[in-house]
Amino acid sequence: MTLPAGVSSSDFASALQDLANAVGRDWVFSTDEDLALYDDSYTPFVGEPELQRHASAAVAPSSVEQVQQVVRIASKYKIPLYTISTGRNLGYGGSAPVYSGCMIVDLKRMNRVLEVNVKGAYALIEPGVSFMDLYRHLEDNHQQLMISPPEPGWGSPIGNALDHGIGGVAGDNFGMVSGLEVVLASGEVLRTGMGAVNTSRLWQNYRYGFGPFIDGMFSQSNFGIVTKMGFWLVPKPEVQTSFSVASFRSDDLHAMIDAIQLMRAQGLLYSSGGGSPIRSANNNSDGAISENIPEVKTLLARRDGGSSAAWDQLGQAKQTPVSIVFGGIRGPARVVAATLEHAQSVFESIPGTSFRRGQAFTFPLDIEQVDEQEKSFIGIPTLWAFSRMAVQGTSHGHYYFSPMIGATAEDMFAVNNTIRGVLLDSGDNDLIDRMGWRGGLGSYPKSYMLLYEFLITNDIALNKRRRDIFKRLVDTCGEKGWAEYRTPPAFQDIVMGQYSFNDHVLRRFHETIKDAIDPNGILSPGKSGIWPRHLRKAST
Amino acid sequence: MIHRRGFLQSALAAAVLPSLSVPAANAGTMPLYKVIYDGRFPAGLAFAMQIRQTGAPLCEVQGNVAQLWSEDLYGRWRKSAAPIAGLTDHHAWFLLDMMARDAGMRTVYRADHQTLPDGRAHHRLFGLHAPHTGLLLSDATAQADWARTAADIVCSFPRDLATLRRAPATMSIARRQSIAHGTLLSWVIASPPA
Repeated sequence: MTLPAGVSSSDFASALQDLANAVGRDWVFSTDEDLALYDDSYTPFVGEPELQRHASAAVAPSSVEQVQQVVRIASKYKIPLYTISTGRNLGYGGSAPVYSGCMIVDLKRMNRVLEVNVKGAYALIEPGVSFMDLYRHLEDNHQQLMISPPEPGWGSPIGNALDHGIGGVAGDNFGMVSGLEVVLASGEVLRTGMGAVNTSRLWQNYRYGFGPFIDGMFSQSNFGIVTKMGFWLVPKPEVQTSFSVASFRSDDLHAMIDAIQLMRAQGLLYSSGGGSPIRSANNNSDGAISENIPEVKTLLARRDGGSSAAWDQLGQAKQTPVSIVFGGIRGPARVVAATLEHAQSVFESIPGTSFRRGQAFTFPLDIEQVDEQEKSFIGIPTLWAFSRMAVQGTSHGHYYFSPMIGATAEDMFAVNNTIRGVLLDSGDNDLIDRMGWRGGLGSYPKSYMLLYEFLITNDIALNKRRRDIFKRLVDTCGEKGWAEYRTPPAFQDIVMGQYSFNDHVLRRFHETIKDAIDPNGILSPGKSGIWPRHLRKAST
Repeated sequence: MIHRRGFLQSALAAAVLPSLSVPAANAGTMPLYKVIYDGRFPAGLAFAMQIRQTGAPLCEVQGNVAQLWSEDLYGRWRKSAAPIAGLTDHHAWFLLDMMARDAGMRTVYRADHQTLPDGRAHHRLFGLHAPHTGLLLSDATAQADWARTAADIVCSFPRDLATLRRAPATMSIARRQSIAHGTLLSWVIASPPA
C-alpha cells in the first residue's frame, strides 16, 4: 500500500475506520487488488513502477452529505484526496492521482439525473452519471434534447466538462455548464450562480448570479469537489448536416479558413475546422492509416515543410485535395438549406474550390441508418474511437500533445513547421511518420486544437525518449504562444509552466486561492500544477 | 444498482474446480450472458467452435467492441450484472473489463496466451481459477488445442467463485504488466465473491 506522505499507519487506519463509519464499510477500499483498478491504464510510465502514481485507498460516497464527511475526515488526518467521477479520462491520466498516496474519492455511486427541463433545454446531474446514462434517460423519456458526448462516450459529462473536454454536439462542453454544487475543503457546500439564492428558481437558467462568476475556478482545478452540475442541452433539430470545401492550392487555405470562421462567428455553424489532406496523407495515428506516399514523406522531411508549389503539384498528381475546410449546421430544415446555399455562395468567391454537401440527418433519427463514427456528432455515445485506436497496435494506450492554435491557416502552417522541427531534431523517424501533418479541429469557436497521439510501448527507453520529446514540444510551442489545453498528470507542471506571463502570476494566484480555501492542501494536490504550500517543492 | 461485492472487492478462496473435462453448462456452472471471440484469429475460431458445443451464446468481434457495448451490454448491464467470458486481444478485453465495472463486475480470471517464435504457446494465468487449469493449458501447445482448452475453462467456470483459489499472480499484477504484441487473452468477467 502507498501511504500518504506524512501520515502514520495508525492514523491512516483510524481514518479508514472513520470513513467506514461515514459511508459504510463496503465502500472503503484498501487492498492492492482494489487499488489497481484506479491506476492509470494509459500510464506513460509502463515498466517504470517508481514513476507511476498510485492511490493509498479509495472511498465511494453516495451523497453530498457523505462527500462532506469524507472531506472533513481527510482534513482531520491531513490525508490528500483525489476526486474522480466515472474514472475514464484515458489519455489524460485516467483515475490515478497526480500525487501518489492520495485517497481516491470515487463518485460513481452518485449517478442520478436530478432534473431535465425540456422547455428550458437543460439538465442537472450528479458526477457518476455517464453520457450513455444521460442519453438513455432522455431517450427513454422522449425528451427531445441532445447531449454532447466526446469520443469515446462512456465517461461522465461532469468529469469531461471539468477537464475542458470536447463533445460532438456542443464542442466546448464546459461552455454549456450552468450552475455547480461544490463541496469545499472545509466541508461546506457551495452553490454557484443563481444556485446561491435560497429557493432558487433559475440555477440552470442564468449562470452568473451576482458578483464574481466562479464556475471556472472549479474546472481543471483542486479548489472543491463538484457534486452537481447544470448543463445546457441542445434541442434536437429538424436537420443536422455538414459540408466541406476543397481546393488543390495551398494558398487557398488562408481564405477558406477565414471564410469558415466568419460563418462560425456569425452563428451559422456549430462546428468548423480545416487542414491539408495531401500533407496529412501519411498520418498514422488516431485511427488514420498512412497512404505511404513517398513524396509526402520526402516533403515532410524538409525543414521548411516543402514549398506550396510542390504540395500543389503533388495534390494534383494524387488527386488528393491540398486544402480543405468543413462546417457543421443544424436547425430547422429551411434554415439549414438556406445556410448551405449561403455557404456555397461564400466559397464560390474563392476560385478553384469545390463544395460538397455531407450526409444530412433528419430527426427523428433512424439510428439504424447512422454509421458508428457519426454517432457522437448527433449526440449518441459510442466507443468508436477505440476501434480507430485499435489499429495503432499498442496494448498500453496513448497520451496526447494537444496545443491550441489560432483558427487561421497562418497558425496551422507555423505550428506544423515548429512541431516538425522538434521531431526532426529528435531523429525519431517513427514519430515523424506517425505525426505527419495536422489540421485543426474547431471544437472551440475561435481556436483550433491539434491532437498528436503518443503511443505507449513496452520499450522503457523509447517511452522515456518520447516523454522528453513531448516536453520539448511543450517548451518549443509554448515559446511561440501555443500552449496546451489539457495534459496528463505527468506533464501538468510543465504545461502550467508555459502560462508564465508576469513571472507566473497566474500560477501564484492559483496557489494563493489554494492556500486560502484548502489550508491543509487535501484536495487533489498537484492537479493542473496547483500544489498546496507544503508540497510546492514536490512540483519542481 | 451497484453493490459492494461487485463494485470493487475481490476475495480469496480455497477449493478446486471439480472437473474441466465436461464443458457443458450445468447447475454449478456460471451462466454466461455472452461468450465473445475475435474471429480474426485462428485461435478465436477454434475457441468459438468449442464454445458452440456448450450452447453458450456466442458473439464475434473483430477487435471492435463499440457496437457490442452500445447495442447490447450497456442495456443488459444497466439492469443487472451479467457475466461474460471470451478470447480476445488485449484492447478488447481492456475495454470490456472497464465497462463491466459500471455494472459492479470485474475480471476474475485471465489467461494470457503468447505465441512464441517456434509456434508453441506460453500461458500465464491470473485471478481465480482451479490449480490444474495451468497444467491443462501448458499441455495444450498447439494453437487449436490451447484455444479449445481455454474455451473449456471459461465455460466450466463455477457459479460459486468461492470454490476457486487465487492464482499466485493476482489480477493486480496482470493489470500492471506489459503485454507482448500479439498476445491473446481468455477471460471471465463477473461479480467477484464477497
